[in-house]
Amino acid sequence: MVITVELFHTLKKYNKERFKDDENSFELSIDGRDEILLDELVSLLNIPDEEVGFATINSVKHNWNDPIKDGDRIKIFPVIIAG
Amino acid sequence: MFYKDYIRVLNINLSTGRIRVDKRKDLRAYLGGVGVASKLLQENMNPDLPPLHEDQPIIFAIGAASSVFPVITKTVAMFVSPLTGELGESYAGGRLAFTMLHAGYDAIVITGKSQKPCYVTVTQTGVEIKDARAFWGMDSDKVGSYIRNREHGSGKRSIIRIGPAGENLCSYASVCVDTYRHFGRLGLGAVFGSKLMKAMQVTGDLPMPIPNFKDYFKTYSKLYKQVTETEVMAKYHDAGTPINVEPLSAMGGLPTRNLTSGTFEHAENISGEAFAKNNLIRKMACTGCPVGCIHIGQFRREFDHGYEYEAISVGYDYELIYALGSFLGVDNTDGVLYVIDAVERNGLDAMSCGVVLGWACEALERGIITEEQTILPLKMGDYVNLAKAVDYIAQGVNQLYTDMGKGVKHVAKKYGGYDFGMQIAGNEMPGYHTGYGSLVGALVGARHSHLCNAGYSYDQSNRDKELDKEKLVDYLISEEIERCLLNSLIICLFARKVYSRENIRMVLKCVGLDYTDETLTDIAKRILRTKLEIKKSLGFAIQDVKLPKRFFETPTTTGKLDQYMANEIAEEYARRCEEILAEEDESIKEFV
Amino acid sequence: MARALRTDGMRKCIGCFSCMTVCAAVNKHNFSISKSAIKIKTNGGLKHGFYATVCHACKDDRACLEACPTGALVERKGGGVLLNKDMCTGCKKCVDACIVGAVFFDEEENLPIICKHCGSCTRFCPHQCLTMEEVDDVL
Ligand code: SF4
Ligand code: SF4
Ligand code: SF4
Ligand code: SF4
Repeated sequence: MVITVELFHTLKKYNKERFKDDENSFELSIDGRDEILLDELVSLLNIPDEEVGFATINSVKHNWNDPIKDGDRIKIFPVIIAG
Repeated sequence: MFYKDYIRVLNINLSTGRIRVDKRKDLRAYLGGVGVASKLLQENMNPDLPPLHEDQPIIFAIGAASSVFPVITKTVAMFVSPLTGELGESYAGGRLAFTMLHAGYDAIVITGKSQKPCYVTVTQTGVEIKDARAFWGMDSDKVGSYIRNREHGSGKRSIIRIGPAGENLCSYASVCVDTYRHFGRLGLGAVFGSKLMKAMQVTGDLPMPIPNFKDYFKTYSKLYKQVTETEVMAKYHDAGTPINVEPLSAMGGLPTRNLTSGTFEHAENISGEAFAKNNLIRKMACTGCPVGCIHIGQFRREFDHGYEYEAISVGYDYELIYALGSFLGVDNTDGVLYVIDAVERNGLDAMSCGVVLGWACEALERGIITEEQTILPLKMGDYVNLAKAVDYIAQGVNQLYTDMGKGVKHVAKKYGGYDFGMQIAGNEMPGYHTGYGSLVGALVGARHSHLCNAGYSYDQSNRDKELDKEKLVDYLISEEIERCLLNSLIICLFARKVYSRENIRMVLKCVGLDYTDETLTDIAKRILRTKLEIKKSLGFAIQDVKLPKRFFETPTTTGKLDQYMANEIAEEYARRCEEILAEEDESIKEFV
Repeated sequence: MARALRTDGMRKCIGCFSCMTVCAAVNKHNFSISKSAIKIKTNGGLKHGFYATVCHACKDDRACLEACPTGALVERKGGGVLLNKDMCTGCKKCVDACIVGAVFFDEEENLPIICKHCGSCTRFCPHQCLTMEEVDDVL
């Protein structure tokens, strides 16, 4: 399956090699699977749990154990803190 | 004072012109910052008098380790709030803490009322109350530059001042600190106005030898390294707090159009990136902060026909963009800056102002108020008229605008629309509609701010889980207590992750205060207890708060909230407060 | 090779004053930034950017040194001067002589404050406004 992943702000640094040029997102192909959980994706991308705020699948807010399917577009945002 | 066993308090009485300096050993039991300020407020206020009575005090305090460690930058102001009628507590960065430290004062207490408009200058060698008649009516930017030009003297300075809104006693008038920071919330500006005090300048460069240089520098270097290596550093320096706009909107927690929604379809257009691309011209920091989260944006305004333009620069951050952007349906960066500029010039709190305007737009649309009253065809997104309305509020041009200047609770009670006047215990809502944490957190927080206990943060990390009432109450109360400690040093909350208990103890040790964790917890609880006592004496009870219905109609990040559940959580919190109030304060004896 | 302080990155300055705090702490063991050899200033109010006033590490003609009647200032390798405290009378001639205004005065100690190009401040500038440059060892 192939999905598109968009990482925001500080989360980018964990996947530097995956981004082409100035792009904000990259395509990710996962062999031998036709479904993967959001949770799994986060660990696959080496993003520490405590830095992840929340994520959307095709622009809709989702839970961590929601499945991602071929062709989905995932956005992952860092946690929000205020001062 | 560092390495001393007392707190040095400067007392200024504007009625009599008397100045007095106290060395208070007993105040060490409150560490510094919010602790010392709470105690001084309790001693000096009169719960039976209205908030703007001349006998009510203004307290400023710096923390126990202000300015000499990274990101320990803030000053606290405490007063009786003209907006809520109860505890007034507000924080500002800039240079104020730094200059107070170097002028040699831990706290300043201002009482009385001047006979004519005045400004106060505080230096290490003396205090003066000076004529400000010609400054009355000026916007806060202008008066800042006049004082800058008029006052000489060595050392760095900090100038804090009010605009027309404070003079006219708007209940949520702010005090501008060094152009880009503010004592924003809860109406300190009106308290200044009620004392006919336009401004205060603090300068200082007292020599302060470091007796234990090695330890100090080791600690400083360690903390500096930790701060500059945290996420906060990159995140809040690069795009600034506005990077929260997009994710909050996507997760449905960005209050939009008077909280009719938690998602703003134009969030991308007013995101941190959009501001950076369109308007950002400079970044700045409070004195002592390597992060530098202050973002200055510029926009162009036509002030006359015939291509007469001026370039205007104003500071922007998440709270401003929420309150004057998404909350009012303003969908472009220039428009948001346009309204921010009006709020700045007049010296109002942006969040309160935005929420009041949100109510006004909806009330007009529903026919609760008329265009005759609003003078302008106020509507969501029309930033030019919204900015004009800001002027009208500050000037109180008619009865409606005067009422709007008293806060959304007041105006909605009087004209109607209580259920969509978005306040919590009289304070206009902060920019987080994320769940029970944010809502109940602001309700039970001592000053009804999202920063009392960061309830939004709880919502975020527990989003997928079932609500656990006990756990939420535990979280809120322990966070509130821990923040009493952070705020007695006074650490900018962006760096709170860096300032673990271990680091706090290390820092305090460097300035001569060697405390155990236990003592620190006792102090933090003592501070909260003092604040709760103040609130009680001013008649506040959690049970009396009636939240507007809309909080329960518009889904949050964690789904729709239930009013009964919210009340239950709040009541449980109230019960815990009673426990804290009833606790015997044994350890205070160590200090007296 | 000798090194000298450079301020080429000041456009990125956020006005945090870490450099001043560190200079005063390291060189004078004091919290007061009036003891710092570098001064960060604004051009009238915060609406305008920051600039730094600090010794430029003059090489050929050191005005401060030339003005000093007692010989308390000596040439530093790589530019600038070093102060010999014992010989200084506190006459402030160097303060007037430096045309970039980089000699400050410590009234408490009755001594001029001049940057010694030690580089401490550069290690605590969060945005690389201040840097140390390798320079020829010329005297
Ligand atoms: S993070 Fe921002 S508000 Fe906090 S001290 Fe630094 S510049 Fe000031
Ligand atoms: S103090 Fe002034 S005159 Fe002396 S070397 Fe430095 S810049 Fe040149
Ligand atoms: S190089 Fe050393 S002496 Fe010069 S300003 Fe920096 S810290 Fe001070
Ligand atoms: S440390 Fe760097 S950013 Fe901070 S004031 Fe000095 S030069 Fe500016």
